[in-house]
Amino acid sequence: MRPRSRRVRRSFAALFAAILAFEGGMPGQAADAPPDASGEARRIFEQAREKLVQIRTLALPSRSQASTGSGFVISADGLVVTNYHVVSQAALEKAPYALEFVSVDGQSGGLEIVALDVQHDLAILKREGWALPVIELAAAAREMRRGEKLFSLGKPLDLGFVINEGLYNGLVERDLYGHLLFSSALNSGMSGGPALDTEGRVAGINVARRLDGQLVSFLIPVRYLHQLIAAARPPLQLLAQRQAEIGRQLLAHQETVMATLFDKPWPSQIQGGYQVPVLPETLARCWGTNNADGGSGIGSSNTQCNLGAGRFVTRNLMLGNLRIEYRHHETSKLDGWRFWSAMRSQFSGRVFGGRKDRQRTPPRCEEADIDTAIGAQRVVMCLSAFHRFEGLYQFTLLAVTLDASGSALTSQLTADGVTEANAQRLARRVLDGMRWNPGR
Amino acid sequence: MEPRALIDVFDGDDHFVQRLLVASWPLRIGRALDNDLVLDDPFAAAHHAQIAPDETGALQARDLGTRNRLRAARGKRQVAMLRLVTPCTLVVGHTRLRIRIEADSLAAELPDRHELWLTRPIVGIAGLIGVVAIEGAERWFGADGQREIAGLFIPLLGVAALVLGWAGIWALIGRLASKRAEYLPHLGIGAAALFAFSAWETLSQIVSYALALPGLTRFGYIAIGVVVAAAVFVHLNHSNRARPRLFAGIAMAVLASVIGFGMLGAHERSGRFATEAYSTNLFPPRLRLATAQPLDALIDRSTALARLVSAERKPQRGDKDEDSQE
Repeated sequence: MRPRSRRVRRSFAALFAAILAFEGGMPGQAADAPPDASGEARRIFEQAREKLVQIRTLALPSRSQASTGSGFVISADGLVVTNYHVVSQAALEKAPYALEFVSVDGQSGGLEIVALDVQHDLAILKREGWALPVIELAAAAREMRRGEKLFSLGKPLDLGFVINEGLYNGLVERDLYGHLLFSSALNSGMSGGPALDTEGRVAGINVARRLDGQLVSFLIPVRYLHQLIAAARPPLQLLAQRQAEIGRQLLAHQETVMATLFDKPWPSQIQGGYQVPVLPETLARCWGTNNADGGSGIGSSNTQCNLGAGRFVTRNLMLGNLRIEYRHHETSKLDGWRFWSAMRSQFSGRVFGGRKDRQRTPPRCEEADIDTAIGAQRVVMCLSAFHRFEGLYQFTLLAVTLDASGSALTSQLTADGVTEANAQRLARRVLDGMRWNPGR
Repeated sequence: MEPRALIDVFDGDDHFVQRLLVASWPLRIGRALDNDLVLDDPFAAAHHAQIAPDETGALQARDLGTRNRLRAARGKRQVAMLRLVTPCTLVVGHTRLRIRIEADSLAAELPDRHELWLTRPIVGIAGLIGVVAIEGAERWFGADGQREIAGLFIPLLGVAALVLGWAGIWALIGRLASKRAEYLPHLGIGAAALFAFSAWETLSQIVSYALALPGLTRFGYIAIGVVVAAAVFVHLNHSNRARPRLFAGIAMAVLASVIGFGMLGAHERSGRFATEAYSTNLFPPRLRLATAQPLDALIDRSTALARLVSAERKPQRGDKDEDSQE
């Protein structure tokens, strides 16, 4: 059994970056199709069947299967679309991998990467000298109505090509790139497959599902595929080229995130005797709890905001997300020495990483007592650089108020993959945005 | 008659056996009872050697025709005749003789470290109680939940066992090296060392917080090294007061080892020499003395931080492979 932390991490990856991991054994054979199967679905599948492929990532030199996804043909000269995360091992890892397609009829052949879009989780692959019928894309500006029927196709769990009928239910709220909310089942192995409208045109691309819900799945709007096709350049044959391209896109992503965040003032929230800035409701989900003194002598309340803007980069790395947590602690029972001893425990162990971290450098920190509108605060700023993406840092800001003997506010902001300038802007936004609670 | 020389006799294990005041020369040495100095040494002959002044008045030792002859010191060449420049040693069989005469100048007396307050028995007992008390206070005031006296018992027993065991090791070393265990003096030294470390740890945290000096507590292995090295020196010097320079050298080696391994361990874990990424010293705000800085000062420092971590990048580092299905 995997350790819990790993499972949790993977769950988040699945929620936000479409890792539809399959860890169970092989299920039994599916029952035969019912005699009253949807005629519409049968028609759509028959129209699309020759244009569908499974994308396999093979570990070299053994050519054993490392991962699988789905894809579809978009041009007569052999361009195939799938998700970036389906091909991420071949795109970014140092160990050698090859990409291969397998058609519904069992034809197979090698593929090379033509274009990657980490921001929207798309990839375009190419098979030279190969001609297959092409699937038609819906127009970029096509507007869909809630309740519209869509059919997602792909090869789940490496069992066989399937078509699933479902409903479009609008755009995902608080989503930077406007993913489509799709009420149907997407399973592992369907990533990168097309979601077709009743005309058989691609309206979206399968990308993710919620592990904690039922039939809550997500599609990438087809307009991003149009943009990627328009911007596609010569094949990205070298690892260094792909790494540089992904780095450039991650920089662009964080600039988009920050521009959106700094575009408007952040709302305030009350935490004890303080007002603290939180992420705008339109962009991020904030959750809070109150904990009464449970025998420790300290009561607390907290707010946690998660932007949910992380982009899947590799199996072990998501970049672009932002989290803020405020926690107010108060005691009426403990003396100052014991209360602050507890605060010491709260304040420690908040920055992770070391020499064995393969993704980033060990964190380095600067700290000082800083004068803010709510009095002096002990502030710590930590940075670590990502080995493969120049100019991007993991940034952690820690702060604790120092104005009272029996209460304290601890703050933590963590940004995965921001520039130094944006890290500094975030620090200013949080610390300069703190005020006294007018009703204290 | 006034004694002309003093001879201390040590057996093959270098244990002191007897002392002889020599009133006149020659002095005959051997196992036979008619010798002036009778040895209980199977490697000495019945009549082994004779010491007497030569025509110039200088002392000479002469072998009396034995198989093992004489040596100037253990391990030295066997000779039939030795000129004795006192103070000196002479080895007969396996017996070592330390010889000095009235005219020999004497080294200045050594300071009497027996009176070092740390080594008084009462200090040992008081020190043990003090260490247990300070550790108990730290845990008592550090507890953020319900305080239970019974919960302190095991940790404090551990602290007491540590000090008692440490003193026991040094008493054993003293017993083996100089036949003097002196447990309580060693207990005093050990307790004082642990007390000093505990006091430094607490005080340095408070000072670090009060004056905003985070570096004061981020290299804890230096304080441990200093305290351990000082304790080793005092323990050794108490066991044998004749070799302070050697013991100072040993203490320095201990200091270097503790600091060296501390740095190595911290660097292997985190890539830095500090034991923690940032200071976590927090105390009641009324203890703060430092003036708070404007945020810009910290922001400016973060620019240098970014340069530092960027320089540590290794762009070729890759991911581990993992099989999966997308």
